[in-house]
Amino acid sequence: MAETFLFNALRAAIDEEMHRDPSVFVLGEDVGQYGGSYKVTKDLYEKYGDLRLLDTPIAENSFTGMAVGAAMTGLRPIIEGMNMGFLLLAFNQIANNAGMLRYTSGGNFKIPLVIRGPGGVGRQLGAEHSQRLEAYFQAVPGLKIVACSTPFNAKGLLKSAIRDENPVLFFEHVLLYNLKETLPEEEYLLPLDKAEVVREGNDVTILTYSRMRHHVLQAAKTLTKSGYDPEIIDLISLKPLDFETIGASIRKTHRVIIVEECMRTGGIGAELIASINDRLFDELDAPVLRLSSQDIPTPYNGVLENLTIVQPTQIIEAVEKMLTNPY
Amino acid sequence: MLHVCPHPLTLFPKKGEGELDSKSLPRMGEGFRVRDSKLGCTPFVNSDSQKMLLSLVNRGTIVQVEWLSVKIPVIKKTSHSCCQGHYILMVKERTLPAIDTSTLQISHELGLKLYEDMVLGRSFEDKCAEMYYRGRMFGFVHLYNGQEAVSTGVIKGMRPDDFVCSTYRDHVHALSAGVPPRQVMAELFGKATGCSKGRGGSMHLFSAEHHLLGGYAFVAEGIPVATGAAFQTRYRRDALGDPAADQVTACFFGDGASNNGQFFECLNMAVLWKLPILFVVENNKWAIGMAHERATSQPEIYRKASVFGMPGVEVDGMDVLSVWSVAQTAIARARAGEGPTLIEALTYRFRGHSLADPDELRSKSEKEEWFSRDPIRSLSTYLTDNQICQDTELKRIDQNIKTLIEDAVEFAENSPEPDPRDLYKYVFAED
Repeated sequence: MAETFLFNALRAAIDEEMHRDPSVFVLGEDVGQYGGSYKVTKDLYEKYGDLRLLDTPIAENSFTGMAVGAAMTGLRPIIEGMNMGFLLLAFNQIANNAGMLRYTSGGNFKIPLVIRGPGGVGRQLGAEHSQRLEAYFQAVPGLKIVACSTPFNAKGLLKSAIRDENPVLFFEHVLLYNLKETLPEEEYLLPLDKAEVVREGNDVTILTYSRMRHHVLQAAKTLTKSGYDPEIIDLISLKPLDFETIGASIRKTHRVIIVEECMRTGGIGAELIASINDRLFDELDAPVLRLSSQDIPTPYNGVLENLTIVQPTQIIEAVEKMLTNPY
Repeated sequence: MLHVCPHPLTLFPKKGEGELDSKSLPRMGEGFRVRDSKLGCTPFVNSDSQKMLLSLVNRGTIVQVEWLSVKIPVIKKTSHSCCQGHYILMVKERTLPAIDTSTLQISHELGLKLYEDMVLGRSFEDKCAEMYYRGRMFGFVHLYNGQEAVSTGVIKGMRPDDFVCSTYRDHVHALSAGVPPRQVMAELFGKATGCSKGRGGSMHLFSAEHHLLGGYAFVAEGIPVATGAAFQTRYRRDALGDPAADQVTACFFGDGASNNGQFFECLNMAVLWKLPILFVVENNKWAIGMAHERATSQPEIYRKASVFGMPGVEVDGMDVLSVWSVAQTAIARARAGEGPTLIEALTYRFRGHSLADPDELRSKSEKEEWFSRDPIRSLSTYLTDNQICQDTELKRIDQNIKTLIEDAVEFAENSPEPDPRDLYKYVFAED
């Protein structure tokens, strides 16, 4: 496959899975005739028709509940959240029914459902369209939460999410759709519960996900020139956390920095720190350091927006500080 | 003071007490509305509307009063001998729609089936109340007494492979759908043998085997799920080309849910995509303590179908044959791929909202009126009067159901608690 944009990698994943399994269908706002706001379902409407690319009215809670009902009765729906922030309107169906119903039903029903779409802070989209929702959902039992970050993992992960028997919240990042990468010609799947070691190193473990992976990589260029040797781990699975990979890294480096886009309070990083303390406290040579977004609604102004999320320079400073001033 | 006339639901001031005073009128919170040609409608419950009503009555103006869900067509001098000469507030329930059931061919077998299902529902719920008060079941338990004609009339006319979706008041829907009483009782006892393995409880009954999509504990949240099941059938038929995909989904919910957005959103989508679904509103007049008329600008819920271009029918929810009749039409329509129907069944719960509800707001006269229309008694009278079934046969059913319920309790009592080692079981599909 030639160089592929991330949005096209997602499109290929959906196309392949719809072709493979006729019970897979996509529903959401403007997914059909319009081809999706970020063109992830472009032209699939012509190929699969209006039931398999179901354009829904703007009624998030109801069409999400509808997908739950369809999944309970044997279909495999993919919901596109035009913007993942809109899913707040469907919180009840996602939490009570997608997440909890298998348990409350005593295993009577399974809900193979993917809820995917763009999240994260974009470019001056304003607070409501620049949400960091992963933390809101991480407490819901029964949900798997995945964040893709490259065209390669986007495709392999989405295919696995579609085949998974559980509800999967699949976060894409609004600023990563135009990343390009050469993808394998042959079919491949990636496990949903495995973190990816993006760069091996020995000095410090940097745990990150989604767009922040790229900020970390940018920082790493400078850091390695200065002789630092960070290990960079893309969590991929935000729930459950892959403590096999995380643990192996911490046992090697004994230092952890978390770089996340979600808010600091009650975020993914907060959960990581608590879990690291539970499991690996004796391995730590320093307190875990956390770089998160600010606890504010994302401001519209570009300068303020940049101040809200973690920038590569802050990552460089954090690593330097941790490694040059050991506690 | 108000007195109840021997004539059903007639309230009037006592002779000699002169004009109506505020004590004669509904107290605050009971609510009423007044309509007349000069003043239009006063939509709010407040002391002003009380005063206005009083003044109109005492001037002899004829007005129409809606009292709670009750319509009082006119205030006039009574003609009854027992209360002649008094102002009379003719408290009249919403006019019941006349469904002609005379052409229905109720066979001996069908008569017994309907009767048995309704008695099962009633007896099961009575036993639940007993077990709740004896500390055998816990949490919020919402009983279905009085509404049996709706569950039976709709579900017993469906096929086993059709889908049923319920609310927190779900025991009887589950039973009508074929979930064995043992499994339902065991679930209420929290046992491992319950239909939801003790994880769900009263408000979360599920059975994939019996196509029971579940009890949904939040008001209206089951409507989208049921709509999804109906979509699935259409998808199988038209996207997968399966000609056998003609299942119908019956989605039950209450008058309270009919003011929620999910209700309107799903009506819209169901018509848009011609989904094979019955939206069955069990209008029992009360959403806990909120009288239906105080919560909605259009109390006649079935009329809300028209804006979506969907058939909407109202039916006497205390008459199983009427329910059966309208449900059969709606089921046939859905199965033929012609789309959804909204059915509003006018019914009443004979008990409080839940077993924890003191049930203080509903008036005695209202309850008595509805108790007098017990759907099970009506059916048994119909069956015996028309010589469709023998009284002895019905008695035998009563006896059999009693045994069945005792057996369910015994089964639940003797069933094991869920294994604590299985605490995490069923969180994920692989568990």
